[in-house]
Amino acid sequence: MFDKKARKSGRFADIKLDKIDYKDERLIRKFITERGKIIPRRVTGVSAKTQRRLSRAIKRARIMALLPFVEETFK
Amino acid sequence: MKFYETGLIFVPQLDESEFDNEIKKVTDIIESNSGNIEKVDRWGIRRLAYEIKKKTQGYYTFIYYTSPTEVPGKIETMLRINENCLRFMTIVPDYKPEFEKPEKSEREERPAPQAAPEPAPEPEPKPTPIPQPETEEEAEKKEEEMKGDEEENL
Repeated sequence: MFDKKARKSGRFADIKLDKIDYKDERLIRKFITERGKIIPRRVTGVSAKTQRRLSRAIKRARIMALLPFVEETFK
Repeated sequence: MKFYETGLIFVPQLDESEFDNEIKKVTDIIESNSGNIEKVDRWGIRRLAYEIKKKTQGYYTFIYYTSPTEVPGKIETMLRINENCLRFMTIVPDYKPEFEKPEKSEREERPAPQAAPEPAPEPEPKPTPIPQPETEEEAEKKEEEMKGDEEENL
């Protein structure tokens, strides 16, 4: 699952990341699980710098109630 | 002078002129401190991802401005005692918004934020608040999976 060859494949392959804005919910949602957790870099395959920017954006979006801290909807 | 972006969430029970008034309080602080407002982006009433002070909706506004460095602090002091403000956050954007440097406008435009036009009564607890983008994304994922399956079968 975490094979390095599998990098940048699947659902993370074609996501444009030139502008990371915490208000862009559609983009940011792609990098959290349905529980609301940040998906690790070993899964998303993005660069360390991009992952830092993403996680900062996710945390900002949580503060502004655009994203949940914990999604409790599914049982 | 520095470029800032302040996001605000107000309680949804106010009417349009009261929202104008609340936003004006903030813009007045910026302008009276020789700041320059670049853009005021009103999203309108939107669902909150979680309850804040028992509210499930909030009126979102984002203000982009350049100002001396003491201005965000002044705005925050004012908002902290403002009962109508649920949340606020000032950031220094690490990207350049389009309206600031038009010659660098190759970037894609963000889709217009959807303003929920509901009149916002008292918070009604909805049992399954599944966010819209999540379901769309799942649909895309499923499509991809189905494509993959087809290829395997061939």
